[in-house]
Formats: sequence, C-alpha cells, structure tokens
Amino acid sequence: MTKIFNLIAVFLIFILFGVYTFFKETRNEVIDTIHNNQITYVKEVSKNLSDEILFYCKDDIYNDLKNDSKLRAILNFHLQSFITSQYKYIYVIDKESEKSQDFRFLLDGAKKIKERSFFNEDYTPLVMDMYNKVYKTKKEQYFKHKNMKSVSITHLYPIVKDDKVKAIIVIDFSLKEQEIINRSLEHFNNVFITILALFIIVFIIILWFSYMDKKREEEKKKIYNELLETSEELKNLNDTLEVKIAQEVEKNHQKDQAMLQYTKQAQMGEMISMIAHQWRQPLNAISATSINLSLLDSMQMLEGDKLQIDSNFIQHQCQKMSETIDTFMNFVKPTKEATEFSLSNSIDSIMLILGTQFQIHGIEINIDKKKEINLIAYKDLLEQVVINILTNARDAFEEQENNDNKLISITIDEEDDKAIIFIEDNAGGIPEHIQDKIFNPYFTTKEQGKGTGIGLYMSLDIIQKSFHGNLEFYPTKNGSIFKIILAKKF
Amino acid sequence: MFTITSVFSSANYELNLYEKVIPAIFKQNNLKIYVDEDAKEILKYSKIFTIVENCDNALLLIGDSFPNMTKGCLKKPVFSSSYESFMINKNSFGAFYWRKSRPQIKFKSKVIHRYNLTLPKSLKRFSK
Repeated sequence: MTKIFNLIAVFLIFILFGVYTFFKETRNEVIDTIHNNQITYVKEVSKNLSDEILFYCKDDIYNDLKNDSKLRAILNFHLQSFITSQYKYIYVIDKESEKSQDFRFLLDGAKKIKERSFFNEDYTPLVMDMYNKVYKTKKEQYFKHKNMKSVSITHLYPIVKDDKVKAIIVIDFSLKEQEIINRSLEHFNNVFITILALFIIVFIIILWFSYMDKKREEEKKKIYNELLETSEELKNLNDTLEVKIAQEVEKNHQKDQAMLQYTKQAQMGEMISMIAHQWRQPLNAISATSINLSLLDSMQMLEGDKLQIDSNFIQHQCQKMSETIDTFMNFVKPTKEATEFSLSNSIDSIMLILGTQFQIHGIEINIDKKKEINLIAYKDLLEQVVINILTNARDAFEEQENNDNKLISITIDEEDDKAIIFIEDNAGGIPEHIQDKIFNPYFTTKEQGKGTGIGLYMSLDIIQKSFHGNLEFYPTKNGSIFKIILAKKF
Repeated sequence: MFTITSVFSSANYELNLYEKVIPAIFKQNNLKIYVDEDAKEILKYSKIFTIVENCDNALLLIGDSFPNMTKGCLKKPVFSSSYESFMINKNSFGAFYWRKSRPQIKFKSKVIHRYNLTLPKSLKRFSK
C-alpha cells in the first residue's frame, strides 16, 4: 500500500514538473509573441511614416520642413494620430551632419503644446550610441530602458534616401500590457511553484511518516517473532519439564536407594561382626559342652541325666543363636509396608544387636522410656537411623581412651503430639566449625575407609521424608544430643 | 566625471544636478539664489543653496518666470528650467529641462564668458 502511494506521489511530482516546464515555455512564448507583435507593428508604422515624409519632402527633409511650417503641421498631425497611451512619443530627429554630436528635432507628434519640442531644438538622447549606430548601419534599432517610468522600449527607424540616413523616426512605447500579462503569468508561476513546493514538502513528510511506520512495523514484527520463539521455547520446556522432573525425581530416588543400600551394606558388615560376637559365647559353650560329653563318653562316665541336661543346654544355645539370626534378619530385611510398632520395642531390639558391642567398648547405655508410643511407619528405617547415631557415638568414644564414664542416654518422650527420641552422649562432641556441615552428604571426620559421610545425611532424609519429622543436633558440654522428631500421624 | 545618466539615475536627480553643476560653474558653495515657484519646490531641500526672498541679494536666478524683479536683478545670470526660456533670455547661461522623459542640459558659452564664469571640461559638450 505504501509502495503504491509512493509511486503515485513520485508520478504526480513528475507530472507537476512537466506541467511547470510546459507552462514556463508557454509563458516565454506568449511574452516573446507579444513583444514581436509590438515591434512588427512599430516597424510598419515607422515605415509608413518614413514613406509619407519622403513623399512630402522631395529635396531635403530639414530644409523642406524649415521652409514650410504648414508641412510641419501636417506631418506633426500625422505623427500625432498614432500616439496612444502605449505609444507615448513619436518624433523625428536628425543630425546637422554625420559628424555632429547633437541631434535636433524636426517633427513631434506630442498632443500638448507644452510637451511639444521646437523645430530645430537641440536634443541629447540618453543612449547616443544607438542613434549613431542607425546612421552607420542604416538599419532600425530598438532598445529597452531601465530607468524611464513611462517608456519601456525606444524604436529607431532610419529615413533613408539616396542610400543616406536623412533622419530617424523615434517611437517610444511602453510594455504595460505585456507587463500586466507577464505579472499575471508570474503570479500564476509563483502560485504553481508554491503548490509544487507544498506538495513536495507534504510528500516528504508523508514519506518520513511512512518510513517511521515501516520501521515500527519491522520492530513490531521482530518483537513478535522473538515472542513466538520464546513462547515456542517455553512450550517445549513445559512439555519436557514434567518428564525431566520425573526423570530427576527418579534419579534422586535411585540415588537415595543406592545410598541407602550402601549404608545398609556398611551396617551389614558391622552386623556380621556383631553376630560373630553374639555367637562366640554360645559357640564356645556348645563346644565346651560337646568336648565334655565326648570326654565323659570316652571315660564311660556319661550318665543319662547329664546327656539330657547338656543336650538341652546345647539346644538352648542353638535356639539363642537362631534367635540372634532372626533378630538380625528382621533388621536387615526391608519392610515393604508401614506397620504398627512400639518405639520402646524398637529400641530394645536395637540394643539386642548393639548391646554386646557397647559392653565390649565399655559404654553404658541408659534407656529412659517416659512414654509408651506406637507408630505406624517403616520400622526398619527408624532403626537404621538410631543405629547410625549410636554407632557414630561408639566411634567417637573409640578416640577417647581416657574417658572412664562413657555414657549414652536414650530417652523416649512426647512433645506437641510428636514422638521424640533423644540420644545424648558424652563422647567429646563435634567441633563448632563443622557443626553446620554434619548433615551434608559425604562429609566425615572419620579415617579413610571407616566412614562414608552419608550416614547423617541419609538419616535426616529418612526422618523428613518417611516420618514427616526432623533430625536436630544440639551440642553439649562434653558431647552431643541428637533429637529425632517423629510425626505420630501422617 | 559628470554624466547626465549618473544624475538621472539618482533619487533626487534634479536637486543633485543643480548642486553639482551650479557650484562647479561658480566655483563656490553656499550660493545665494533667487528662484521661481517651480524651482523652489526642488531647491528648498538643498544644503548648498540659500534661497533669498530679494533677488538683489542673490548671486544668480534659477527658473523661468520672475514677475517682481528690480533693475539690478535683470542683469544677473539666469539658469533656466525650460528650452524656451533658455533661448529667449539673453542672461540665461544654461538650462536644465525634460524632453520626451529625458533630461536635457544646455549651456551658452558666450553668456558664460560674459559673466566671467568657467564651464568645467566635463560639461563643455553640452554648450553651444
């Protein structure tokens, strides 16, 4: 649309320029035609007058006119008949001789006596050269005046007789009509130029606006395209976001599972060591009993009662060992569903596993069950957390050889409808500068190969996700308190 | 150099012409002049000429018709403002007038000599 408009505007400007050029040429042509017509007319009048003067003045123009005042009057009257407002002065002048500087009046067509010159009156023309040129060339001349008010052009026509210029007919005429026409045309010309200039200015303004509009449209289009691209990117991102989130969640879950598994495996190692400790005593007892029975049998001293008692003892020890395995198996076997369990029983079963180990390390365990609390949750996960905190305490005590009062206090309580397990030790505590890092993954102060650095991180994760609770750490004077907060209903 | 066209093209050409020509002939400024009514209209703005009411106090007369003149005045030089006056008046040493819308300036060398005046070289071509 803009292009069509621009083309039309350019076309119109060319048309206007064409019209203007044509008008200018026509104007000049009109002025030239009027001018030429006037000159032709003046030339014809001059020729007729020349013929008439020569007709009346047979011998010498000056002498004939000097001697015949009636002839002067007749010819003056003839000159007068051609005078109009346009042809203001018509008169005849000559030179006494060709060498004379001044001219003299012979005839004058002036209507008013006051304006009429005298016969033989001296006359000094303004443009003397042109008058002399007529005498020399014997040809008519005309020239324009710049300073004279009523006279625009002076036409000089030679009266030639015997191949000599005898006198000059002077006709002064104005270009009033031509000037009026010229002025009107000039006015029209100015109006035309003004319209053309205005048209060009308007065109330039419209062109500028058009350019700005186009620029704005381009910017708008660019922004729109960018918006579309961004929108498309957002849409794609949105489409893939759910998948990505699901993938990340799955990854995290797998990572958590792997870490859990890793922790469990680490704990399994410990448990095997614990089973070995648990089994050592009954195995020794069974071994000793069986050696005793074998010895008595070889000495023929084995009595029926003794066999029965020792057999029962061996069975009892085996039963105990079997129970130990069951306890460990229950701990190791993952719980697939949340089940109702007693916190108190859970702590007891943990003590069955760890108790012997803590005894070996000289660590006293003090359990305070202030409330009997049942939870419906994943028992094994909670036990894993408690075991992790207790084994950390045990490891801390290992570094304190001079501590004769190694104590771990376990308190089961209730706060604001939440089950609380406090585990407090006096194993020296955690240095202040690392207290805020203990829940970070892979952070450990243990020797290489002993600690994984994920125990407390996993414990916090388990409590938060599986028990909707929290695991908090509080430093004490000689040790640490871990507060396990468990939601009773979730 | 004095030319008619140079004067002619100026705005107050008549006043300028009088102020250039007359002092050049009389070789003095601040001339006391006696003028007719037509010449008075032109020369009243002059800073060179002093127009006097009594022609006896004037050095020269400028114009064509002087109705109230004393005997002493009749002999004083006259600068005419028409061709007719220039030709008739024996005391007229020069004239300035218009013919066919063209300025005309004329001088009579005999009269100029009679009054012991000198025509500048640039004006000699206008004398008879």
